[in-house]
Formats: sequence, C-alpha cells, structure tokens
Amino acid sequence: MDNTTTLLGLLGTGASYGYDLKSRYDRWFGLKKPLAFGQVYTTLTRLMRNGWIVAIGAEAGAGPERKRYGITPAGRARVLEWIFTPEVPSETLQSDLFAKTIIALLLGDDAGRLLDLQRSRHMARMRELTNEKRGAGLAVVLACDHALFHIEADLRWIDLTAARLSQLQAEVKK
Amino acid sequence: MNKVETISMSARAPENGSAPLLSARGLRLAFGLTEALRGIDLDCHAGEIIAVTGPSGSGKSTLLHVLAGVLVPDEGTVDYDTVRLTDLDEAGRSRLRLDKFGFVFQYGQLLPDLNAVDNVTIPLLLAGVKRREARRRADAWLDRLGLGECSRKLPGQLSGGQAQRVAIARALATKPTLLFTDEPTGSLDSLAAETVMLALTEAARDANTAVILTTHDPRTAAYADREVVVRDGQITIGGAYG
Amino acid sequence: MRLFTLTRLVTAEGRRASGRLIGMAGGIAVGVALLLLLLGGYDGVTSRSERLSWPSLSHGESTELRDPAAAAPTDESVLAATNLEHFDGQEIIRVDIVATPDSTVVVPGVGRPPAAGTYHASPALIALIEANPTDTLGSRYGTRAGVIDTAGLAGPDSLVVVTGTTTENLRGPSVGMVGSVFLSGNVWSVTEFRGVSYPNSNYRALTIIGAIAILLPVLILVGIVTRLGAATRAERFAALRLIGATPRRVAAIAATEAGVTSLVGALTGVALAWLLIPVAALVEMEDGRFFRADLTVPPSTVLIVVAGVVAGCTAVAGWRTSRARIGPLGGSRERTERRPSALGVVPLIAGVVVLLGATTAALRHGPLPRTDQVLIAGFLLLLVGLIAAGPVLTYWISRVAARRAHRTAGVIAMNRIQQHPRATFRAVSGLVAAVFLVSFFSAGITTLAEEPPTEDSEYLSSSTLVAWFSPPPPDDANAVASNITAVAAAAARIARTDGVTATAIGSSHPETGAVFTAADAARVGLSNHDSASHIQVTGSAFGDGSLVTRPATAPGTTPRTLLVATDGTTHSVERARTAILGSELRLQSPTMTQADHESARSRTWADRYANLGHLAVLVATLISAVSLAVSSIAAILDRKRVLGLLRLMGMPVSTVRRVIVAEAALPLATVFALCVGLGILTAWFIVAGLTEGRRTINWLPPSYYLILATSLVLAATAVLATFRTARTSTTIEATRIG
Repeated sequence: MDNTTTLLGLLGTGASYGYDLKSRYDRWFGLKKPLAFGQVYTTLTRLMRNGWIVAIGAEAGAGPERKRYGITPAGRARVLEWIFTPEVPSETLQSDLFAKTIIALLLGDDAGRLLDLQRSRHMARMRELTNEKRGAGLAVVLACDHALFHIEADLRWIDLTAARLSQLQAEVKK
Repeated sequence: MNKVETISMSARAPENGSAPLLSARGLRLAFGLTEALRGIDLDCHAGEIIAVTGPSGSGKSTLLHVLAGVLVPDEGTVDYDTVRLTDLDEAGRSRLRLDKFGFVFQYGQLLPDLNAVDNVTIPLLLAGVKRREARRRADAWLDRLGLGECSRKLPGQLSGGQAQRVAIARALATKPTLLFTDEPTGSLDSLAAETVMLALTEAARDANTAVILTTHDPRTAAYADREVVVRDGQITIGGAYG
Repeated sequence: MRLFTLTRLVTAEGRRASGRLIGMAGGIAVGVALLLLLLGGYDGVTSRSERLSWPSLSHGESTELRDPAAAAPTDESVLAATNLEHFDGQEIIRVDIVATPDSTVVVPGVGRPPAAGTYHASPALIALIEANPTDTLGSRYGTRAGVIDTAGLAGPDSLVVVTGTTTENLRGPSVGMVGSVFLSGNVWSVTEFRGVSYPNSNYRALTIIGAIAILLPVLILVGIVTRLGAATRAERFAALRLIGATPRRVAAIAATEAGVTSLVGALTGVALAWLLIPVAALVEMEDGRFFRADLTVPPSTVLIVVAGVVAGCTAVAGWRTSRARIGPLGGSRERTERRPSALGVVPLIAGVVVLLGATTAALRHGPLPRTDQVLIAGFLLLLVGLIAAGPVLTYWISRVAARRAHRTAGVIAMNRIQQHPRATFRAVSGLVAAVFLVSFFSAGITTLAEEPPTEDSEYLSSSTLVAWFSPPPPDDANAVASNITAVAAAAARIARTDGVTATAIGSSHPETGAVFTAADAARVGLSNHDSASHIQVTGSAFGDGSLVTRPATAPGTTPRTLLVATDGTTHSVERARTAILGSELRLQSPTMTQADHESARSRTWADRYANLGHLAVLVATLISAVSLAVSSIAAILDRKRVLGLLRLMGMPVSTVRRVIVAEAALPLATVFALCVGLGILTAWFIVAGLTEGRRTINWLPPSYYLILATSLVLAATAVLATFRTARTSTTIEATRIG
C-alpha cells in the first residue's frame, strides 16, 4: 500500500503534528502493522522535498516532532490524482483501495466515484480475460478463470463497500 | 474540490459513425412512491452486447422492460431504429417485440407441456411461419446450440443449462436484431453459466444481434462489450465503449 | 388444541389457500343442500301420497256398492263417490258424501261429513270460487260450510271439494286418473277414509338419476377445487416434514383441514337447504307443488347427512395425504400424469355390450329374468364408462391434434392436454355427465308422450262442451222413454243459459258413438262433408277429445251425448258446464271441452317429471360450468409465469384466450357427440328392452335442444369468465415472482 500518499491524504484534512498524524494513520490503517515513528518522519521529509507539504509555524531548528505540517496545492492535486486513478487489478489491491476510500471520505471527496472507476477497470480486465478464453486451450482457460475469480472477489468487495459507503462515512466523521 | 475527469460519466456510447439501434433518453418511471428509474440515458448499437448490473432492486429489470417496450415510462423516450417505441400502443409494441426482439429469462420460461423443439417453434408460429418449416428451423437452432439429442425432451427432463440454451434457441430463432435477457445465468452453476453465456454471445455475434442483459454476476457481465451500472434508478457507470 | 392451531397455520394462510378452503366449503354446501332437498322431496312425495289418495276411496275401510240406489248411510258409514270436474282447464276433485246427521265418520281435512247441500273446499278452490261469478262455479256445490285443511290435501294448489248430498242426488262417479289419484268409477260405502302411502317407483328411479345428475358434478367440483393451490399446500406439508413432522401428523393435519372445512360446508348446506325450501316448493311435481313442511327433512336425517359428509371428507383427505407420501423435500417439478391406459374404454364398451345384449335378447326371445336390473347395471356401467373413457379419448385425439396443429394456441393447448388428459377432461366431466343424462332422460320420456291424433280426426270448437250420458238399462222401455224426455228438457234448459249459442243431442248408434241430424251438426259446427241427412260421430271420451265423423243413415233411439256450443268466453263455458252438472243428466264421464283435453294432455306426468329433470340437469350444468371455469383458471395460473413471458415476447393475449378455449373445447367436443348418441341409444335400449320392443323413442322435444344449447352457452360463459384472468394473470408482474 502506498503509505506516502496515504499520509499526504491525511494531511489534506488539515495541518497536523507528526505524532497526531501517526495516530490517525494507525486508527484506520495500522490495525495489522502500526507505522513506526521513524518511517513517518522519513516520509514527511520526502513529501516536503517534493513540494507537496510545508512545515508551518515551526521554531527554526526545532526537532521534527515540534513541527506542524500542511499540504500545498500541488500536494492536493497529487492526492486527487492518486485517488481517482484506478489500480491495475492485482491480488494486493484491496488495502490500497481501502486507503483511497478512507482518504476520500476524510477529504469529503466522492468515494463512490473512485470505487466506480476501480470497478470499471476491473470489469475491463475481466472482459479481456473472458475474451482470451474464447477458443483457447483448457490450460489457458483455467488460468484465466483463476484470475477471473480473484478479480471477481475484489469486485464483490468493491460492490459491497460501495453499498456501505454512507455507513462508513458516518464512522469516519466521528 | 475540483474533479478529475478521467472517464466520461455519460452512459452514452461515443460516436462511432453509425446511429444507435436503440436509444433511450431521460427515462423516468415510478411505481407508486418508489422511483424505479430516475432519468436514464442509454444507447445500444447494432451487434453490441451490454451488461446492465447493479444491486437488487436498483431498477435494472425495470430498465430492461422499458427498453423492450414491455413497460411504458412516465417520462422519456425510447427509439428503436426509426420507430419511437414510447409512442406505440400495446399492440404495436407487441408486434415490434415479436418481430425484432428476442427474450431470455432466468428460469421457468419454457412451457412445461411442450418438448424442446416445440418450445422453440412458438415465436416462429406466432410470426406466421408454417409448423413444418418452424420445426425445421427450431431443430437447426437446437443442433447449433448442442442440443440435438434433447430436442424431443420435455423441459422437466432437461438440466437447467440445457433449458436455458433451449430458451436462447427460442429467442434467436426469429432472428431478432436485439435480444433482451434478464439474469440469464441466475439459477445456474458456474460451468452451466459459462456454457450458456458462451452459446448466447457466440450466437448473437454470428447473427449480429445486439444483446442487453441484466445480471448481478460479474463473470456473466464480463461476456458483454460494456457494462452499465444502475444504482437507485440512475446509471452510475456507463463504462467505456467497446 | 395444537392440531387445530397447526392446521390453521399450515393450510389457511394466504389468499390462494383461503380461496381453496372457501371453494371446498362452498362445493360441499351446495352438495349437502341439494342432497337434503332431494331427500326432502323423496320423503315428501311419499307422505303426500297418503294425504292425496284418500279420494280414491278404495284404500280405507270401504266396500264397493253394486247398487247405490238401494244403499243407505248409517252413523258408522257414509256413501261416497268421487268425480272429476273441470274449470277453465283445471281439474277439480269432487267427493260427494251421503251421511247421516250423527255420522261418526271423519273426512280427512274436514272432520264431520258436510250436511247435504253444503261443501268444504280447499283454499285454492275457495279462491277460485270467490274470483268467479257464482253461476260459473260456486253453484255447483251449494253452500260453503268450511275449508279443507292440509291433512286432506296434496299441496297448496290442490283443487278439492267435499260436498254433502243425498242418496238420490248422488251422481255417478268418474273413472280415470287425476294426477296420481285413481278414480274407480264406483260408489263406495266408507267407514274410514284413508290414503295409502305408496312409494312411487317412477319417482324413485328419477330421484336416483337426478341425484347422480346433480351430485356427480358437485363431487367433481369439490374434487377440482380441492386441487386448487394443492402445490402450495404440498410445499408447506413438505416443509413440515423437513422440520420433523411424521407422515401420520401430516395426514392428521390434512384430515383436520378437510374435517373443519366440510363441517362448515355441511352446516352452510343445511342453512342453504332451509333457505331454498320455499323455492323448491315452487317446483311442480306430479301432483302439483308441495307444502313446505313436506320438503323439510327430519333433524335426525340432517344429522346423519352432516356427520356422513364430514366423516367422508375427513377420511378421504387423510387417506389421500398419507397415500401421496409427501417427503421432506416435496416434489419440486410438476409431475406429468401417467399416460391414460386404453383399458379406460373397457367399461364403456362393456356397458354398450350389456345394454345391446339384454335388449336384443328381450326383442328376440322375450324378456330374460331380471332384464330390468341388467339394463340399469348397463346404464350405470355406461355412465361410469364415459367418465373413465374421457381421458383416454381426449389423450388420443390430442395426440393427433398436437401433431396437426399449426397455430401457436393449438400447439400449446394440444400438448398441454396430451400431458394432462385427466386434468383437462376432469374440467368438463361434469358437463359430459349432464349432457349424457339429459339426452338419456329426454329420449326416454318421448316414449310416454301421447299418440299424435290420426289424420282423419277433427276437433270441435274448443269452447264446445261434450257430455256423454250413461245409457239407461235397455230392457226397461219406460226408463228409456222417460230418459228421452228428461234429456230433451235438460237440453232445452241448458240452451237458455247465458252464453250458450246452440245445443245438439246425439242419439246412440248401434255400433259406437252418437248420431246427429244434419241440422244439429251444422249448428254445433260438426263437419258434414257428404251432405248426408245424418252423421255418426265416434270419438274418444277419455282420450284427446278428437272426433271422427262419417255419414249415417238414421238416428238411434236413446240419447247418447249432448253438445253445448258457447260464445267462447270462459264464463260462458263454465256457466254452461255448471248448468250441465247441475241438471238431472246422468253423466258417464266428465264434461269437457277440447281446451280441457289439451290442458290435461299438457299435464301428463311425463311432462311434469320432464320439468323436474330439466331443472336437475340445469342445476348440474350450472355447477359443471363453475367447475369448468375454476379448472380453466387453475390451468392458466399454473402456467402464468410462462404465459406472461410469452406475452412479453409479443404473444398477443388473444392467443392465451385461444389456448383456454381449445383446452376446454377439445375434451368437450371429443365426448359431446358420444354423450348425445349414447344417451339416446341407452334410452332406446332401456325402453325397448323393458317393453320387448312394444315401445320405442320418438324425436326429441325442442326443450331438449334448448337444454343442450343452454349447457353449451353455460360452458362458453364459463370459458369467457376466465378471459379476464387470462389477461390479468399473464402481465409483466406474473413474470417477476416464480
């Protein structure tokens, strides 16, 4: 999952200290593997270098934990681009899609649309695979079926999430 | 928040040079207080296979029925070729359905007392074909769909997949330009569903018959050229054309 | 009780289920009501015969008198004679009684015998007397002393009068039949008047046929309604079995359902019968209408009928359910019927063979022992055979038709019939039975119709009265002479009566009939083709009233008949008749006009039974039409999803209608001609077989074709009634829910 853009997205909801940022991240995405502090600061450094965030109202020379970070317009653009660019269907897709959905909801953006876009991408892939099966040998058909069933699982998750979006939104707003 | 327009939100297919075979604009239909369709635009071109998906109760079956001229919308128009379907009376729409459209449904659509070949002859007889000729054509269709062995069996003696293929033969026997099918694989297992969809799409492509199918099964939808997602009576995804 | 709660939950939920239960209860109610009315009529006709037959005089404590003039009443006995009189085409039974003032004899419905010159009359006759001038009717009887109550009357329409008279005025009694009252033509000395309760065998036979004709369609209706919604019910039973109910438990639930439903139905039927008694009392049967009390069935019989129906229904339902072996998984697929076996036509052929054999044997060699029972057995075999052979014939014809059909509706309907020959035939079997019975019945009664008048007979004007005299003893010259003057005087008096235009006395002919002079004949309108000086008239005094005239040479010596021509109004005719009856003329037979003969003919018992039979057949047909409608609707509902989808494909609703029509018409048409033919043939077999060919059947009366047409119209109406269902149940909604 793309931790960098996820953190950037979290900053998009408002300027924040590094520590707060980490706890917010952990609340949504750190269930299995909480983010290390070190990782947070290296990521923030990288984001700053790209010009996507800036440090606000910091006493010069103070340690990173004393700084508040805010997102730049370039940073916002990056987040939106990330959210609304569907991923190539793969087996590890789910966590990333989940992160995008949460960020979109936190930002008050159209999470439904991102799910739809991803759905279209998935369906397109399924059509490709279904077409490949036409007149192919049994081995190819079985391989395609394997892929199809995996994509279908994602698709079902997307549909289910889309159906529960308003519920999720309420939870995020809390 | 500015939106990033990566993909067109319109359900209309982009211009590809020819006029659409079926074109619906601004369809609205309410059953009492329930709004089943809330402003739907959709085009279907000759030979195109479209999957209409969406959650249960989203209005996809209603959309199919409106497009096929079975239900009349409260608002909006449906044009088939040069005919405005929504202006025809019931008799005119019935005639059009019989002449130009084919239908395949989920299950229980074969007359239980008629054997497979007689079931296939029904629309041909309705169209005025002589019984002998109708049986000849029906037999040819059943052979083509791999049902030559079953042509004299009653529906009760057929498996679900076989019955569904008989229904496809019946729908295509009149050489429709547009085939409507509601959950064609709804009651079938994966393998039977695949056989049915393969038979359906191959036969439709061969005959250059356009297909509009509803399904909640992504693998069935994947047989289509494009997918249209209906949620709460509106099209939320039109999908890319082609 | 848990069983009842369970039964209600399993069987009575939902509209289809309640429709089924209401239909069952309704069918049973109709059946019970009809059964009770039939039983009431059966009882009623027997008890009525006891009340109405006392004027025959021969059934009580009585002796026939050889010489009435020499007899005299005592305190313990009266002299009585019964006559038949007419008024405006109606028949009046007149009992003349000579009694002593202290007579202890009790007259039914009257009590003490009326004094000479007074009379007691039935309420209907009193109404008639009061509605007409006295000199047309009332003066025939004298002074009214009272009313005859129901104990002495057949029914509310009975025209009976009991008059008191003296020995010298006691008129000569009539010979003949009034309804089912036999008049012996004798004067009796009676110590106790009594009727006889005789079981009327004609009516008994008709009751059996009527019961079959009416109850069979009711049973078929109940059978059809029971099958309605049976699929849903079977599913529920299967669900019960799945959660652990034993087969016995399920059978118990089915039996409870049937028991409760049939109890409700039977009780409704009792109420319905009670409500229908006034209607049934309007039906004329043999001796006119019944008193309502006659048709009331004793409570014990009602109890037995209700208990029997409930027990029967409960047992059948339980037995049927346990035999059906509903498993926990139920039957998901529609079961196709077993192909009907050709053995189904065996009873039909056997019936024809039995009837043919018995009749041929009777015609060739005279009657064999028990021919009547063999014929009845053959009749029943044939009736059962028709119902049994129906599905087989329907199946055969539908197979051919299914191959030949070239229209959509034909293909759908014929294949349906081929797969479900029993169910489709069951729908029309009630009609089939009704048509067979009406054909049999109508053909059977043609044999009893009067012989048509011969070509050369002619009739007097319908307003001319004919009075035949009893001849005086021929060896007594004085009596003969005084008779001639008495007749001439009476005739002259009668001629002066208001409205009488002419009178003519016919004298006796040595061989037969009477002789009139040409002048007399011309005055009363007798034809005299050869302008002879005298003409002889022979005719049937008791038959149809026709007269045959031929030239004669000379008049005889004694007066034989008196013709009284009137101006034609009812009052004139009746005034003249009253004058004749009141004269000293000794009449041999009732004084009648041609109009009286005609109305008597229209009252022959066969016609009265025919009305009842036609009514029975109409009721049966009506019930059968309901069965047909119910089955047609059920057949469409069974396929509503598929037919809905076909309509969605563009099949016009008219095709669905044609399917319904074809599915009803084919089984009906298959056996319709067979029913008509076999019905008539069976009637001929039975009539000819029982009479060794002396009697045969005639052309069927128009009423038969009317009934047949009505049956077909009812069937058509039943089918038309399903068209709405055909349209509404095959709409798009029907395709939604499987």
